[in-house]
Amino acid sequence: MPDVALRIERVTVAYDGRPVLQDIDGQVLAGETVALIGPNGAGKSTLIKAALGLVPVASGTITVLGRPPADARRDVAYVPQADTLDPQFPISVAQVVLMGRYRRVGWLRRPGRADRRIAADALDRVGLADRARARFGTLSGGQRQRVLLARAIAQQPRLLLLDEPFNGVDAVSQDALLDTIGGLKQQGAAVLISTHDLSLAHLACDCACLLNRRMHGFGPVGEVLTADLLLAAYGAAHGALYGAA
Amino acid sequence: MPWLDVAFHRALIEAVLVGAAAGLLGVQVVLRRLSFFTMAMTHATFPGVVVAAVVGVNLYLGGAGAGLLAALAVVALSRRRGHDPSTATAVALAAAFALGVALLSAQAGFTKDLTAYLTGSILTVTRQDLGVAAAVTAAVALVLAAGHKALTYTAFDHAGARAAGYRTAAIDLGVLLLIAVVVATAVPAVGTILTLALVAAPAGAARLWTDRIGTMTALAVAVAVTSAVTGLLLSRAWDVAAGGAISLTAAAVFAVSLLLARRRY
Repeated sequence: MPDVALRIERVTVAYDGRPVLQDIDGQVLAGETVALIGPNGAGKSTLIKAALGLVPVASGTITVLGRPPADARRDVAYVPQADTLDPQFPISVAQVVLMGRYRRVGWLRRPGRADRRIAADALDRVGLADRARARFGTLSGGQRQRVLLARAIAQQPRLLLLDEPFNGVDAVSQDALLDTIGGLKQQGAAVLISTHDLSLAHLACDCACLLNRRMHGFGPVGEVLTADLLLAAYGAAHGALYGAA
Repeated sequence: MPWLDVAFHRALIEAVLVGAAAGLLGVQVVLRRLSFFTMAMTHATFPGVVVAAVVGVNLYLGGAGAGLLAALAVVALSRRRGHDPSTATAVALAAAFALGVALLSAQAGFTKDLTAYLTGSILTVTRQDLGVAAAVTAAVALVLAAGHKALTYTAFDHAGARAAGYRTAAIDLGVLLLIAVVVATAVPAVGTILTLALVAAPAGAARLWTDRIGTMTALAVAVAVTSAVTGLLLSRAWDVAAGGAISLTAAAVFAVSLLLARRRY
């Protein structure tokens, strides 16, 4: 039985007294990829933030690698959406990936040769070794997303949390992201991916958590992403669309 | 006569020190898009300096104290969800400035005039001013060097930095406090209002010439120090106010960079 990397038990999260997530259960095992599926505003990002210990849970518990989320950050990597970052920021691709080493390096030391090699390897794994010296903002959206995944890999995490990594990503970068995530999974990392792309969930993930404020299903992708459950989570319009497809 | 007894020599040293501190910090201001906030900070510093002068306490303490209060107020305002902090900042900016003007005008027979606080009087700086400027410049350099990884990470990717375990709120506040301290330090040289030119213009110009933060920092310091010294020399040659000449020089470098450099931000 593989280790449980992320365990979510009856979790409710509230903003200003109003619950945005209610009674969520689920888990991500080591070596497993779980899709977090739901419409915009379903609370996918909130659940990821809760798993990072950045949003307090009103009730229930979240355990990351057997610890409270805030104590596990060293072993957890978060991949934000690339388009939330300032494309004008004066920073090279290599520097962004090296950030994955910063917390291990500490405040006063400079990243050493070993850190640089780990970062270079991570960039190579997402297929962008030749762009190391380019400014981050000059890359395409999909390439930027791959750079952020490389930064997460450089952190050598046991749990990866990806927030909508496939949004606005071209086919080449999508394949590269899927390949890299597959490789991480084989190495035993646990991966949680929020997405509203159902076909990608089928392609990349073992399990799915169907979410819209509350949980509409959790389990193997094929059992959860059914027309009935999607209809319940998304409402009539989207459910009918999926059923017809 | 010792070299430092000459007012113009002291002014030169002050220009170099304040230029270096403003150039260093300006990089953070530009990267974090805090130019408007810094503008508010310069205005908030003004009543602090006036109160300190009227009550008779140290001008730096008064200015920095008011700046710190303004920084905390802006942080508190921006933390409230659903409110645009720029409106509140703009109102606070005008109110603080008005308070300074009112306080100063109520002080009948007060000898120091308004412009000294607003635009500086670098030719009257004392050895003590130089000591403060040297200490602050060294402290700013030290903090930026020690924190450069955390500062870069949080400026580039705030959410990612939080997720990585950085105390982003503390780091943000630290940057704001550093701005308050540098603005207060620059008051004797360029006054409360014109400090912005020495903070934002050199770093803004430097950003146009390079995509590397290290190079940008070196360029910003070089431009700020050169602008301060050149402005001082021009003010003597043409007999114009030093604060104005320094700010105009920095602004001119920025304008020329905008025209000539390929990069945009």
